[in-house]
Amino acid sequence: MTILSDTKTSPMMLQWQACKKKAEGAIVLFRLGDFYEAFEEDAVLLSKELDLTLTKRQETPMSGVPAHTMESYVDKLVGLGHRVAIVEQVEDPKLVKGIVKREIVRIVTPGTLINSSLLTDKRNNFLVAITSLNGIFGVAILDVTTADFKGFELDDIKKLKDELYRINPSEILISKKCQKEINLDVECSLNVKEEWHFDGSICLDILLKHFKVHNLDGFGLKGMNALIGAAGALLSYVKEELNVSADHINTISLQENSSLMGLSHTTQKHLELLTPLNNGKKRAHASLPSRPYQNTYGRKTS
Amino acid sequence: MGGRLLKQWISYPLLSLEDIENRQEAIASLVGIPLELSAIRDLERLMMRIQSGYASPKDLAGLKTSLEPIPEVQETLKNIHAKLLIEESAHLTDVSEITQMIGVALVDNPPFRLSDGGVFREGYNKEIDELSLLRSDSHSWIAKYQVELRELTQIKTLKVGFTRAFGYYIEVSRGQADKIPDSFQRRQTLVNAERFITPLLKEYEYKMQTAEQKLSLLEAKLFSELREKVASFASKVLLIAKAIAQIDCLFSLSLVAQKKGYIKPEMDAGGTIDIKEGRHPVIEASLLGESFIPNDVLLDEQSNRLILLTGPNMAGKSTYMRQVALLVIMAQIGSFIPARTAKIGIVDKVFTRIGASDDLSRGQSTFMVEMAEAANILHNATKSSLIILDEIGRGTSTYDGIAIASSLAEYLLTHKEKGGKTLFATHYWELTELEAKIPGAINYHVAVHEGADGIVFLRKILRGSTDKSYGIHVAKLAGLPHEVIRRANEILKGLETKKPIKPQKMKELDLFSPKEEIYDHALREELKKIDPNTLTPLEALQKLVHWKKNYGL
Repeated sequence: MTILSDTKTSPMMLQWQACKKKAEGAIVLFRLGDFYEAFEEDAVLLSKELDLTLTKRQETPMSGVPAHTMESYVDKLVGLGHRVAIVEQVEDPKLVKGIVKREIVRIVTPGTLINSSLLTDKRNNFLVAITSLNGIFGVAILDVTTADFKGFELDDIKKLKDELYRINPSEILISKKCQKEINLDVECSLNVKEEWHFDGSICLDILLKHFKVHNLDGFGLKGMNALIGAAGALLSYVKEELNVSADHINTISLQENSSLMGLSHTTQKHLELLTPLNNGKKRAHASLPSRPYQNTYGRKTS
Repeated sequence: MGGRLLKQWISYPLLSLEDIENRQEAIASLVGIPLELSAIRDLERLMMRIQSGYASPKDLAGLKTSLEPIPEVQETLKNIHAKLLIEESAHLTDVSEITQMIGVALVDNPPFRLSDGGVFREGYNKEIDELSLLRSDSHSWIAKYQVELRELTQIKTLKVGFTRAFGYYIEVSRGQADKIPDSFQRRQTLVNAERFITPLLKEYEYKMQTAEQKLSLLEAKLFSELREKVASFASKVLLIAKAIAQIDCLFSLSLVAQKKGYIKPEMDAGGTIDIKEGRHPVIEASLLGESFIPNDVLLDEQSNRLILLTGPNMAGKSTYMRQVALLVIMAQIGSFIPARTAKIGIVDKVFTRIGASDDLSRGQSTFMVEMAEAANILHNATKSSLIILDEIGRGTSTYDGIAIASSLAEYLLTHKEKGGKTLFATHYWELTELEAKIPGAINYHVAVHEGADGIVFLRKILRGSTDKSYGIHVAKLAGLPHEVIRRANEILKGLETKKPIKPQKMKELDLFSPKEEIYDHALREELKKIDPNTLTPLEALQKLVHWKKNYGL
């Protein structure tokens, strides 16, 4: 008897394992009745990061959060830089006999928040994808919450880094090869992805299908293969990997950097254009003119 | 929305004269116009949630209240003829269809969650009305039934109630339980009470349960229908959102311009930056009550290409230079700027090298960071760039620093295609000699008043150079102990009189003369000091070896 119970994994844990495998690198929050539970190493991490009690269920470490306050815990985890996979019961427990079917309904990452207290009206939440093709860098930028989808190409590493600083993304996807070339070192969440995600013809196909068009000329992306690779990879990451709805994203535009003033990374930092240098103590220039007119200007920038 | 767009504008100042002037025109035309945008919420994100199915009843109601002021905004903008605003208000299309659709369906202040109930307005759907009537009637039904039962059983304390776990029940205390008719079915036993149920109550319970279920299913269905109907207007609403964001930004900039007395800078494609009585927008705002000392700046591509700014620490050199950079950036955003008059030739890039910041995490010293940034500027600046260099070279020893700083300045002045308009602050007064040597360099200094009890910074930038750095005064202001200050003054006096570093002598030690001249001068100085009568032969020999080695002879 004891030998049997040791080797046999319960059907529910099998379900969990399948989800865990699918959501690689993410903390799996597994819906069990009125709770979302984490198991194994996730449970240990969860209890540490959120200061929750770590319990055991048949020798398996487990900790969980109540279903009705799950959102705020997810926010905290994502704010700490984790990715969180949410597994729901996709059948009505009243109607099925035996174990309820469960599936990952979405994976929450810093760059793809939708309903979150981490989002503020005054800041875009950008997810960026970068790839390189024959010495040209393609950069695609998306704010899922506003359907702002754009991109550009350039050929200079220094300029690329300046632009990234300007964009101030919450999450970056980068191809393995490209990361080797530019060795990006950023504070935000960085996902290094296999090269095939950025494959030109696959990505072109993804974009054509998504926008329901025959070519990308209308968006001004004709022949911009590096950008197409980045944009396609970005879109399929959001839709396929994270299961985030992207139906509302119905256009992509080209950002003409040549028609905009060049502001190097250090200039933006030194002049404290958007963020103060000594974080928190001083207000950045962007917000300062509003001080005496909080009701008008402060609100306007909402 | 407007806030996000404003951030974009600040991050991406414009280069096209036309674009800048369009924004200026719009800002000017909004002066004195009362616009009320505060009821408009984040339309972009609301719409996104509605489209992707995450929307709550509150979100839909929020969309309605956000769209309601649109016609009024459009009406207000009707009489304004600025090109940008005409374009944007054309996107403010009629939204009454959406607001009506939501208004008819939802109550004014719906709950966050659909499951909380009470989302739909009375009269919207007959079935919902009936079902919710049933629910609200349950209290009076229970009260009525309770009275009936009390009469029937003659138990005064009999209660009819409801719990989520057990449903409806009739409760009597244990002592009264034997008075209960046999037709009552026992449901639950508590510490000192018994709970029963009757077929009638059971029937009622079933009716209520199915009604609840029906109601929530119906509400969910109707809500998602409504949401989808609203979602079909997404492209229209998003266009409105973009337009409102633009109008919001322009209006905000015009409000700030009015309240703070900003002026419209005259923009052109020429290479001159001529600002009269410019002020630092941020510091001005934080000086409550005190007045900010305005300053002029004149930079062009001819004789005012490089401003060499000298002056003591803390006198306001950095503030002045940042101010110039900020005003130019603000102007190219299209904003008005704090100044009396301004004529600004569009700048293609702004470079700054300000302050010292160690990059310990990457293992770079202050000096390394400083030099890397300077290198970047020299590689990437063009004739039309604006360059701010603050105390370049201070991270190393004095001679190294002077050498690097002056060679940098020379490079910027002589490579016309590379060196843009430059503001160059330094406390190496030796650099001020550049003015006489290379056309394009021009000296400015920060005025200081030396009074009886120390110095007063006047924060005024004037032509000409200064040769004092007042470091010890600043040290005193910073609160270094008196003893240290007194001793520092002594050492300074000593240095000024003894060593060849003293200012008067330095004039002879010309930085820009060939190496040999400097060596000759130094050698002569050392020879002067030697008294052959007291020198031993060995010492003389050692001196010779030393000189040969040090002066590369």
